[in-house]
Amino acid sequence: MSLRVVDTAPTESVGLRQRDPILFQVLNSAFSSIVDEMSALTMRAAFSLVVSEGGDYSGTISNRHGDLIASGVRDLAAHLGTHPFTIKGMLEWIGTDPEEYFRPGDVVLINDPYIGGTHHNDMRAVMPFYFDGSLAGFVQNSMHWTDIGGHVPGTFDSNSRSSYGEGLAVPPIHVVREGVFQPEVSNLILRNVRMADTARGDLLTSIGAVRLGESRLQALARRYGTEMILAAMDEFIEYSEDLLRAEFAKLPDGPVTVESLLDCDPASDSDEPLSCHMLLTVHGDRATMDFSGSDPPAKGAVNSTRSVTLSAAVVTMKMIFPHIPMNQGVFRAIDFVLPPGLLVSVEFPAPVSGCAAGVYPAVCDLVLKAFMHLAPERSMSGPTGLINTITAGWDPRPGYDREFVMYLWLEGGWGGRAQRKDNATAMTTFATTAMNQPVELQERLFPVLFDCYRMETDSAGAGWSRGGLGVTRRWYLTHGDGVLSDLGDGEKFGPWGFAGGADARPNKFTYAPGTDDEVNVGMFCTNLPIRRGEMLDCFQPGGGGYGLPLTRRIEHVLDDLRDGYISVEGAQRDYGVVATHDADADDFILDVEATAALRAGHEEGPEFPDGGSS
Amino acid sequence: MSRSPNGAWRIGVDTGGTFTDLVAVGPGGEVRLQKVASTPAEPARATFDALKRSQVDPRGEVDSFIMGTTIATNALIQRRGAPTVLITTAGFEDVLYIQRIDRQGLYDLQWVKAEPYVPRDRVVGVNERILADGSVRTALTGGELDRVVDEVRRITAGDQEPAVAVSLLFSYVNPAHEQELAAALQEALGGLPVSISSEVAPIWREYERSNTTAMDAYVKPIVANFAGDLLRELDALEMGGWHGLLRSNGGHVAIPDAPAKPVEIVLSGLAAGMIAGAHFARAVDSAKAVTLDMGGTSADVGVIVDGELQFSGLFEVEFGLPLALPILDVTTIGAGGGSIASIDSGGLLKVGPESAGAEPGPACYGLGGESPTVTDANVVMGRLNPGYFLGGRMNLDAERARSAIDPVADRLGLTPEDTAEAIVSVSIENMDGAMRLVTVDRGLDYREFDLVAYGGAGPLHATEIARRMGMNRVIVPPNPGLVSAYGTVIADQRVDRRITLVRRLDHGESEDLPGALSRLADETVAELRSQLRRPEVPVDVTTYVACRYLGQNYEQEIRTEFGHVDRSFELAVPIGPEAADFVARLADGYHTTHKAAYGYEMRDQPIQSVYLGATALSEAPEVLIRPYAGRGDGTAPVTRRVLAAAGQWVDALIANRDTLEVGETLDGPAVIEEADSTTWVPPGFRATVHESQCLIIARSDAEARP
Repeated sequence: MSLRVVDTAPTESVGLRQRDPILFQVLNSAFSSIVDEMSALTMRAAFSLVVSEGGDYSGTISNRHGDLIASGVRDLAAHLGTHPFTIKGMLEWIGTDPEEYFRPGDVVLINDPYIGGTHHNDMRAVMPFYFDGSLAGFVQNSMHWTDIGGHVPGTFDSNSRSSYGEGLAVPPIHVVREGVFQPEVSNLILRNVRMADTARGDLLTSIGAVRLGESRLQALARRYGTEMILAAMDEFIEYSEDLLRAEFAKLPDGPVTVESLLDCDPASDSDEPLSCHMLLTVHGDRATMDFSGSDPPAKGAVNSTRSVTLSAAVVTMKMIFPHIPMNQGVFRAIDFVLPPGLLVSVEFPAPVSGCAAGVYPAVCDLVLKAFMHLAPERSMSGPTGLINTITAGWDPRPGYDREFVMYLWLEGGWGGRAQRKDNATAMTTFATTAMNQPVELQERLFPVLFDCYRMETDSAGAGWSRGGLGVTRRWYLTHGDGVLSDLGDGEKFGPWGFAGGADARPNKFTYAPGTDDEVNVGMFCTNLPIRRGEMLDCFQPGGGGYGLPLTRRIEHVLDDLRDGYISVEGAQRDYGVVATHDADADDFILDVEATAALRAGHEEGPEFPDGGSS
Repeated sequence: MSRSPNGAWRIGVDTGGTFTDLVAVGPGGEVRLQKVASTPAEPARATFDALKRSQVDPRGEVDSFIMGTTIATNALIQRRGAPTVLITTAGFEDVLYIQRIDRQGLYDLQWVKAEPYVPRDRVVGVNERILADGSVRTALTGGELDRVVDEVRRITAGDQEPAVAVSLLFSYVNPAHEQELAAALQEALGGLPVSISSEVAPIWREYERSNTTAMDAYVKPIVANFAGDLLRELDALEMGGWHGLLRSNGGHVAIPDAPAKPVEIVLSGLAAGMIAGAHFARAVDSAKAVTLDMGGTSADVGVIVDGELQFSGLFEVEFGLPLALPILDVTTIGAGGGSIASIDSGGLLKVGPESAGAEPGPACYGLGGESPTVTDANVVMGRLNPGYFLGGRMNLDAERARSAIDPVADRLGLTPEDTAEAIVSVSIENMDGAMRLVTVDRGLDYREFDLVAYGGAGPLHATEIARRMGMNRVIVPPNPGLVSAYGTVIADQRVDRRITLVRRLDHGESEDLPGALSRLADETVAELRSQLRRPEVPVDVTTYVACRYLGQNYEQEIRTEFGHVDRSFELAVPIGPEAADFVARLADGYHTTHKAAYGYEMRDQPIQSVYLGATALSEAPEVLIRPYAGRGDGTAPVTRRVLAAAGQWVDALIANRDTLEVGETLDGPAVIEEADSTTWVPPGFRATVHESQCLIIARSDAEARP
């Protein structure tokens, strides 16, 4: 054994993870806890209902290169996967020494989709943190603003052909300089958006959140020393990468090809679907995701930037392997092939405001679908798609007397699973911890009335394990006329079933159903005039089924009949179960012979495996 | 210094999952303590067993008999409640099934949604509609009432002890339809218990209100039977005095009244511990404290600000099933002495949330448990004395503890002792993270807080937690394992009331706010007076207004200055210019509070009130749990080898808590043992016996505050 030259600290040669696994764990939790603290502040202080009640926000910590270090337990998954791209994009965009641009105490705003963002509505606040006079990393908070300007209330405009029609773009700009708030910057932004009071509260909340995160990081560094913290930040990334590679090594080698279709290009005359395509190749402990088989960009707003596509892929991988801490290591474990200029990787100025209903969920589906082939116990059949709806107008009620913008996105069903009982109604997968907006809050805040909010019978994809049910909300304006816009997908293609499981019923959005004025709103509607009292009827789908419906255990079909999840007709049509309702017994009576005839050649499948996570 | 009113016995009982504890304070300050095994099948049996053993004569002078109970909690957790029907506004029948659609695990695709308490085929939609401003859009007709009654009759035919919950949209603004339904059901199906949301939880957010109401109905028959059993036993014993149960808000309800609104006693058992925690915090002049009640399977964390327990509007029995009532703000973490250590697939050590429970228990119990637990780790580290567990009533097997830890040690490549240290560290880190969130979620900085630690396992870990979090002092009450029962004896009588009143503070519409607050305070005091067993005692009332910036969705409660009631029970109602002044001060208070919590204020943004609240309080007479004589026996101090940190064995001083005298100090490393708990004082810390009999633990170099 030779003598080592002692010009580097000897502790550097062995990682913290080996040297002190406990402290490693402690620090990893400490970082996540800081993001959770930021989340708690954001939710309680925010003004937008979609943030405070809906949970459309996220927070992260990155290192000085923008690599993701930590996220929290309540962040909107769709955002947080883009956070590292936001920082990396900014670092490239500013083109100067980051330490000159980002001074201690600065807060920089950005919502530019083409600088590592999503769509203009997601406004981010980024704050640097310095250790011992050197830039150490960034704290970021992202929030969906209900409106970011443009000619459509709520900003979603499926007819927009470019970024210029999608509201106010904010490239990096200092809203706080070395601790001093810059009112002119916030005035410029707020002058361009509807419901500016709401936006102002949200903006101040974002600033409060990143400042909190920064001060907590300083405290952490004081306690453990900056060297230790910086080393740990690097190792968190290695750790997650190691874990994910170890999982890849357990998978069978080889390619899997999957495709997800979007309904169509909203700005094209063609009715042809658009294809998102992925070739996933596992080789040893490496995995490659190749999206180059995807279609060229759409003219309309369903496209996504590179950051959104990678966020969708990575966040869904995290769902397949939920035990792996979410950080840049998850990105690094995967080799991405994503040439620029595709539907899934558009560049400025292609329109992207509908990415959250278009490419984003389609890419999530690609990963879910690929893993239904590779490790079905970790994945699920197709979950519900999304419709963003905006009901807007003037609110003349006493005390309001203002323009209002009601942004509503619905929930639907998640897909059937290989080793779980039927799935339930939930938010879309990429929205995960988001919550619905209570009717009692919406009717107070906006001049609307909800007629119903219910799960739709027979709307789930049938299967041995069925999907969750889809949901219908019906509402109308109570005090005056207004306009309606929406941006969605999945009117043509319902969430997909797997292994014989059926697809779920697709999206449907109708204005004034059953009247002479009935209009199929569809998925791409801009400023449709709507009259007071005329019903809006929006159905968001359930989840696809898993396994052959004819193998679903009859007892579960009867249970679903009792619960009203399926109809007598649905039981017969979808599951081959013939039953009639007996009013006296107040129960459903199985016709054993007729059922056996319809199910001929199909054995009942096994009972759902009991609890326990995979 | 302890005393009991009228020289009569005050009896408090806490029925926990493992043990039932009794504390009785008698004439002249005599205190009797009992700990017996719980009898979950018949909760009353262990209670009266403990009473018998305490040898308190029920026919003698008894002032009060008060219980903290988990009967309603367990009915909800174990799903043993009534077959329940939900009546709701037509079109919204799925409110319990759609829920809030969020999930506990952000990335968990294999999640299974919480099952509501009412099956979907037992929901009845009723044609009626009330709007956000309280006006009626669709009236509830007589024909519709008849139809709904018939439906309920059909659904409940053949049910054993069914119950009905009614929750209609906007009933918190206008309860008329709910009341009409309740009356119609009462008339047609008399005896069928009915819970209506405008009485149970008059708050907005239809899911939270409906679920709370469903829970109330669900536990009604069970609580009624339990209350009946208790009353029969108490009658048979001819026990005198006032008989009550502790409520989730820390107040009391007379046993016969409990079944009327049983959802109020869901946190009865937890409340007892927190009340005692707050009591001991006050006893050592701690204005800001976090309470940590750590037992075998879980740890309950509460927050005390300005000497007062905090209240929350929400508690989740299981994720997605909230109870939306003003209840003591408590957060339960799956970390206890029985939490199991394992290695995750990434090779890292993980502790909990799985627990070995009471059976088979930690490996060292020798009851068949083989998984390494936090308790086993403490035995291996020498912090727990195997020969003095439960005061020597149970022997722990140190060898078993060690063998259970060995496999984990092999995987980590550490010695068993260092592995034990690691297990305790990770467990502490889990609690640390949760406690940070508990405080920060509420806009509080934990670094300004003391930590009051009790329950069997709390004092063993508290100082390490406090050190890690940078908290102030650690306070260990006397008899840490009996603190909850003690809480039932010392709980104040209190009534909390809340009304929704949405007003803009910058508008004339807020003129009626001070008057409404005064009336609410009057009513709250009146309700408390009607419960008091000694009407001459003073009553305090505090009032608050929950506010937010117009457009914000969450509110903060602002304590209001006026409205303290003197004994003659009169309130000054500010009117005219005074009212305007009151509203202005309220607004100012909101700006300041908001800035402190969230880092900014918006002086030009209108503020809106959301609800008004009042709390009427009648303080219980002071009681000291154990008048120590200070039995210092002069024997030489004993020491034991204890692992203080990884690889760091020290000779720790071992002291029996019963022998410590007020004012005595012990420098760490030290282990202080008593019958129901063990306190670990790490090196660099000093424990001082406070005159309240609490141990106060602080850094040796810090100035110990009296």
